[in-house]
Amino acid sequence: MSMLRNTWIRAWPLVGLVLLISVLSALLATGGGEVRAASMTGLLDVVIVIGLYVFVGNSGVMSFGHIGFVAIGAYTSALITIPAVSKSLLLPDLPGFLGSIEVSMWASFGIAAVVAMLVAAVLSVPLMRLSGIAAAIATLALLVIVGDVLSNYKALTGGQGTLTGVPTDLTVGSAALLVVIALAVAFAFQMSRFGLRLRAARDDEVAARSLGIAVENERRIAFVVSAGISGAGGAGYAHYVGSLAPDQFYLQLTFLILAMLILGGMYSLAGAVLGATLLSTLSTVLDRLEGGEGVGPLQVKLPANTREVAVAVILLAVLFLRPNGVMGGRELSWPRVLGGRRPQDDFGPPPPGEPAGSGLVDGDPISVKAG
Amino acid sequence: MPLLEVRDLGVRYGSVAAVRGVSFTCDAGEIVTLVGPNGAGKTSILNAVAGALESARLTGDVRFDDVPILGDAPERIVHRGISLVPEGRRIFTTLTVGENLRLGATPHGGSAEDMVSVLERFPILAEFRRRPAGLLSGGQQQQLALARALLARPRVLLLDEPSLGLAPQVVGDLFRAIADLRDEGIGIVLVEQHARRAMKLASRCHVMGHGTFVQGLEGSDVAEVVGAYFGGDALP
Repeated sequence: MSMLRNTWIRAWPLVGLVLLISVLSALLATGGGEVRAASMTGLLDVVIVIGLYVFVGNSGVMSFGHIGFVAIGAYTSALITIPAVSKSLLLPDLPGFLGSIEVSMWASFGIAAVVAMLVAAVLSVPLMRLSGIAAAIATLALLVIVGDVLSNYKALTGGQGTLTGVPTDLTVGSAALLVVIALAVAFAFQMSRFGLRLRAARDDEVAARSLGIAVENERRIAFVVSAGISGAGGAGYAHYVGSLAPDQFYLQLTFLILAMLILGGMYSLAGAVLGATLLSTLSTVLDRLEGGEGVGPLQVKLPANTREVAVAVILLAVLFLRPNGVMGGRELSWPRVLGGRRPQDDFGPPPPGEPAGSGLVDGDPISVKAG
Repeated sequence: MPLLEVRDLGVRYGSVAAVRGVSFTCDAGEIVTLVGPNGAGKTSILNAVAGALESARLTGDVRFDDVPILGDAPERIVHRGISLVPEGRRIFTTLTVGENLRLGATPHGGSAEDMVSVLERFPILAEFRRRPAGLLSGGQQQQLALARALLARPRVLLLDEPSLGLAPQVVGDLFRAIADLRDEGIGIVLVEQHARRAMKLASRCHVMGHGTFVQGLEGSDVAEVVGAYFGGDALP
């Protein structure tokens, strides 16, 4: 019984977030068309931020290139789900079997994730040898290169124009399911030996190397996993908006997604989810007010680009006042009302209120048993 | 043939030669100490042997079990059987004690039996395994750093200033633990500012100055120097 409870408590950072997303989605799915559309945007933002978190949060290395993987996922999914008849009109020069292939939306999510992972696996060989500012600039270059390829490979993407005809069959339920899958993958990764090694290297790279941790390899694994989640998020986005253009996946989305991760706190999964939810909601509300559509009783028209200014102000405020984000790097903790102590495991800080032990004074004798 | 053999080692950081022409050996079950003033190059030697110097230019030869290892990736060196406990302990303060220990495991060490053995040696770590390692005292953090390194089942341990910042009583306990490890057959290269204690434990001692060995002492010479400089009853 106690073992079962411990398992529950250990999985709570995941279970809690899944419950939160499920309840929220179920409530929003009952709303009108606009509420459902905003919910889907929010849920897809959560998936993309989780994708970024898996790499940035666990490795501590900044990436400006993940929206490139979102774009790769979106275009991959579009190319294999647009009906063949439409493709023959929209993309007559489409190479090989791509012209005739048609798969279901969920199959396209999986394929989009795999394609993004393959691209990431190849790119990670040079990229993950870098860290700090060099890694940030190199990943920014990756974003630019992906954008350029999408804009110029007309036979495959339609070039700078809009690629239309992607079936818009994403629902709030399927977007929520995509979030749950992304959460499960991200949580499993961070609890795994790979995640632990990567977080250790994030805290102290020299110490990690002295323990035999091959830091570049650990970063490569995280980069590939996070690209997969980002790619699946991009695929979901394609099936929500139905039409794609290269400039949808560029600097504006990159900085919005980064702002979401920084707002929630880039060192916890809960932070990623919270930041994405908060900023996505705010972004949608401000977008509507800028367009003069109003939100409920709030019927004001805001000047253009208010959203960008608000995001920048919030980002600055967080960086000054709470640099570790709203969650401060913490995961959801087991509700105290449900009783008692934390599980008998070795993950996470000690329960609040428990004595800090005798370990705070440097004069403690070392108790060594003769070997 | 010695277990660890360092021959004519040189370490350069750009145009600065931090270590020049250093040679020494370390066998199983012995302690070799490197003593000397700050900046003499002691830490550079340990880091060079452990493969933890990425930006430096290394010359000379380092052999472990007669296999050249100089310039190998640090993880390969750990897997061969050399573990470094770096200066300042370098434990992961945001991770728990248990997580820090899990990170010490390698493909060759870190089994359940290894973990039990290490926790028996340092029982306080078992008691505090769920606490963030940053909440441990300096002495306990040093135990954790040692325990973490031992989980890789090293045949040679490189200890860099293990007593740094510890209270005198704790230092005594720490040196007893180091002597125990030697008695179990682990070769230890010890860099230490507590020269008296370090030399008392060592079978060989190298005194460093300006990047090179200025004096080498072996066997009874070490005891003689300890006696001459620090008094006959130098250590408990």
